[in-house]
Amino acid sequence: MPLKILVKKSEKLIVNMPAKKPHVLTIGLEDSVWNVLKTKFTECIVTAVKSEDIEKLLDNPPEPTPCLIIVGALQLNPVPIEVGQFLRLQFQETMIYYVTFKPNALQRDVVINNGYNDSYILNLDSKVFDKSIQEALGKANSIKSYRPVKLFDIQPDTKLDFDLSIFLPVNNKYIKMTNAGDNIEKEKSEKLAKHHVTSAYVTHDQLKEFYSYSSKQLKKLYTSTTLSETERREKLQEAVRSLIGGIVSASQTEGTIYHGRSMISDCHKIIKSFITTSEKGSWYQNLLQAAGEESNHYSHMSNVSTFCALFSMGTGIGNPEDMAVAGMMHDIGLAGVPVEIQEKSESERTSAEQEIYKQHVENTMNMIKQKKLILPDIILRAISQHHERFNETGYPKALGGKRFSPEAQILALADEFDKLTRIEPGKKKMSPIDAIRKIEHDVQGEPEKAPFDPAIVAELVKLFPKH
Amino acid sequence: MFGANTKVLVVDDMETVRKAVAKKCDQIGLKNVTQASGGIDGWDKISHEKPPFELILCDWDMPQCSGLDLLIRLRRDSRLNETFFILLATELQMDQIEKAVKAKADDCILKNFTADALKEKLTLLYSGETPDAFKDFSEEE
Repeated sequence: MPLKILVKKSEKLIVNMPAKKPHVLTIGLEDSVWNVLKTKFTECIVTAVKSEDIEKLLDNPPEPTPCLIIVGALQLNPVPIEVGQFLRLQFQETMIYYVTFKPNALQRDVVINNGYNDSYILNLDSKVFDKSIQEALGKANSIKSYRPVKLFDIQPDTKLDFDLSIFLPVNNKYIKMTNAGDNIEKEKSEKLAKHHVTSAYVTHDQLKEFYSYSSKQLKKLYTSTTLSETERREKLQEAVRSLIGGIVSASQTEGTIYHGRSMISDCHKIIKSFITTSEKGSWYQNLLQAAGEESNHYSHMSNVSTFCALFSMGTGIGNPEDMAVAGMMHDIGLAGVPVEIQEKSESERTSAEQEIYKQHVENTMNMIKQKKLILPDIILRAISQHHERFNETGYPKALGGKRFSPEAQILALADEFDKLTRIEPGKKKMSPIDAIRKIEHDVQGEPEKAPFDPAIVAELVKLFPKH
Repeated sequence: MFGANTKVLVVDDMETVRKAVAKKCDQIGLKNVTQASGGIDGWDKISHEKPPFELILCDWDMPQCSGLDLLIRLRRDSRLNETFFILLATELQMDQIEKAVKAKADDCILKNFTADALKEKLTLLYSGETPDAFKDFSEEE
């Protein structure tokens, strides 16, 4: 049986193989809240801590490290903000949620700015909260297990900083192909190539090394002077296709919302490492910090940034560093638009509200000016045009055709792709394949009516698995 | 280089958070750590301490006298110009970093750091390197 099929089949098994029971900490939780929640944690070790006792966690850290901490409103001293800050200092990786029955107990942005990942009001937010709990527990289950990763461009005698394994369902176990620090022997690499293996497994604790390896591989390809231009383009396209393919296949696997997201986050980390080792590195680091990894827009901006860099690399339009910066900054002006307008879809907004929303492009440009940020013209143009459309129906200037720059189109496509695929309350989630299908469909027919340049979309579609 | 005897002051109005920061100092071998419960208490301790503190880890957001206020006050005193001052914040916007650079902070750290990360920051600081977050702003100076 071909190895490739065996590896693919195994992806589902991974999800069902928890290493040990996840540990959940509750702090200052009211009985009424716990009564509602307790059935969700029957498979977990739960430790309840009184809020006045949290200081004891300094000298007696809970074992194993909790994957989830739920903080209730049953606490006056210390106040929830202090508890949040304290816990975040102790548990950098743990999901920490503030949960209450009382609406307006604490403003969400205040909660998020003080160490919590989010706050939920029961029963209003019960469904979203359930999803967050599942994600946190799912993550815990994968801590000591293996993660499928996409490996591209494995060259013989490449040194890997992580153990590489494959999965054999027949024996129901992982076989280590190489140890960290070893070279991939020519024979093994030929075997992998022969069986078209692009999926392999890396343990969770070695993912960091994997990100760094992948970004180095990308960089090597991107800056290669030994390959011919055609070869370089083809290999880059293949690498990007492999990364995007990972996101697509992960989101198609049943019940793996977390899995799909984690593949996007893998890509983000690879791109982040790719960019931060370039001359734009410190800039990008600053942007990530300024965007605040917990802010509402952060995930949108970082996703768009990642897609921008991937699309740029795969299509050859713009350069990935510039495009990643453009993606990270394109919506900073949204800070000047009232949240209630931002949260509505375009069809729900009144025309006056839509006009206010449109202002965010100008706001962004003004903020860049005010902060005296010196950005290349290509980035500035891409940001100022990211709501323009090829058919002149966009804003703020209704620029179309050739005046809508290719870099701006890559940014607009990355923005559109993230908006179509992201999960929002009341909106049906679209799979990455459906999203690219929609984008492709929208440019069919007369080119003048297409929102994006059909030639650019055709290049983009090539980066996705055939659908 | 910093060591067990380096005189450190941790300033935060939230007691448990302050203790958590002090604990991290302890974990990386800093054994001479004093705590202050806010900007005013912090200034009181700074101005009376002889010889002065060598390193101050101070929360940004405090009532009455913020971390930034305390830093500005401290930098006005020429005797304390050599003191390393690190601001701790729960969020860091670009304009905050700019303010911190202007007020001559030595670094800003988000309040989600591990003891190892603190050690890394301090090692860089004591080697005289400009922190990554400050690099672009420092060039403008």
